[in-house]
Amino acid sequence: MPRLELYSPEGLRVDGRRWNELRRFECKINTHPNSSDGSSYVEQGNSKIICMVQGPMEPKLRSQMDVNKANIEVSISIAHFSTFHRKKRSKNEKRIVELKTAIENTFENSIISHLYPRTFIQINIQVLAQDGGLLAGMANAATLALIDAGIAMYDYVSCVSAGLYDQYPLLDLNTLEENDMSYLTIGVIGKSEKLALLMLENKMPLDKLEPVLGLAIAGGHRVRELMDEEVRSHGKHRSQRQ
Amino acid sequence: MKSNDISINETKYIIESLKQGTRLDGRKLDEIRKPEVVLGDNGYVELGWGQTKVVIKTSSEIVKPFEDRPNEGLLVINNELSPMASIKFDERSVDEVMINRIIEKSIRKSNALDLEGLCIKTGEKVWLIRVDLSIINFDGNLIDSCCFGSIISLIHFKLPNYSLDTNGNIKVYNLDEKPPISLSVLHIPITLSISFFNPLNDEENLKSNNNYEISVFDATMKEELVRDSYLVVSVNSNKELIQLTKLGGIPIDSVELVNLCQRCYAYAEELTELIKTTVKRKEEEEFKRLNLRLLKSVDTR
Repeated sequence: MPRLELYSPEGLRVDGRRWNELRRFECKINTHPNSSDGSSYVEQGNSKIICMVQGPMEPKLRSQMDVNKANIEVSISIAHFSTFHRKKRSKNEKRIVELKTAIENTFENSIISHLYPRTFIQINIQVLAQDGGLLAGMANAATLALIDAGIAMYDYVSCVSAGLYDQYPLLDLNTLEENDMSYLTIGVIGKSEKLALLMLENKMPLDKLEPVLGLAIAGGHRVRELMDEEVRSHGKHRSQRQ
Repeated sequence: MKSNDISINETKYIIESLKQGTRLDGRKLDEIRKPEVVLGDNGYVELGWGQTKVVIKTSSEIVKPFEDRPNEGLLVINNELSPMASIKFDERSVDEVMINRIIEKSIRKSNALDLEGLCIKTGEKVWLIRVDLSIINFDGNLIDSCCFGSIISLIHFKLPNYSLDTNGNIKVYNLDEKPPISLSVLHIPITLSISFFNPLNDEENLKSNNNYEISVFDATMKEELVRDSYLVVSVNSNKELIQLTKLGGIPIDSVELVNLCQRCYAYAEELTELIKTTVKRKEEEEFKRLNLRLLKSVDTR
């Protein structure tokens, strides 16, 4: 059998998508109303992520307190069964620490944190299944959970990945594509073209950065719309019930 | 970077002067400090990047390879932030992990070092190359200086020559018995970091269409304490981006980011040239000193 064809001459990818199509993006908010202040569940293709937010609350330790703004802490746990090969991952693995700081720093600036001085916001992310776009999925789940918790934010942070196959930029990669392509993950703020998050880990020609970024930003805006739809429909549902 | 030991006055002073396009040390906003490289013994490099001083030493040993990669050598990059460099580093910080991640991404993950060439006997013996970084003094921009220093050290390092006999025993020669071998470095990644400052408030940054954010190359320690966000770009002289990292902080317009990457490429070419000339000069000196020509004629390989 020849090597897996990631992008056919007809313009179809391994899972039948075109170059600029997102995977199925489904999200729910307020999935765990009793155990947390805000919660969400995000499915991006076959990646499945739960996020729960506790807070703003009194910090447990004095060191977690900031007199001027809220202190945000993210904890990530990735299920051992989330990938094809069952593998134990420790929380202190360098890659996980990096993802954690990325998400913490992103939300420190998009939450209006000066409204919550001397408080502590805990974001717990649980990854159930991974099929590409790990960072993107986690950040999207965190955005939704923070909205559900009623924490004031400037705007949505919507994340998506985009890669480069040969000459062609492709949107929202799955694991098969991620393994064979250079790709970047971005986090866009609202409808703007400003990036809070940008991560590229493998080689990409410098001239190709612009088209890939452009595609990713368009994808990010689409993700924002999908998240917004869910938030609004949930809000409507809530207001009718009361 | 929890304890922000810079006064409000000083913070305001730095931002006000940046708004007018000046920096405390008189550099332009997009100007980097010129690195000073002193090459010592095999794989030993002293790097001064402004007041930031880093000492790098590369060494090698023979180990057993990992079972899933039986014919690949190993590259270990080891950096520790000791309190000697700055009081900021008194405990094991996230910074340390982040610096290590970025060096690994730019050098190891980008295959800058040909690991398959380090194999001695498949599945049994490979070379382990260890790069140890010690930070002597800290004045900002550890990421750039550590990456720069590591790659010079790898280029400067020479592996001792060895031979395998029929029983599979390895004989490692002394440096004066047989000329040592250079590592095969496939490309030279140059890492540069750019700091962003927000001269206005958050609303202006997030909601308006204007881009007032100031981007500054090669920040000093004081500038690093004040900055709102940063971007790390690794690029090589083949016009390939190796990694980009912007972990949160204030959002920056994408067009600006692309322009900054182009600017980094210009610097990468300059710095690559600097590395090449420095290493070449050192090699010529060494050659004269040891008079290796005599030994070379003995070498039958």
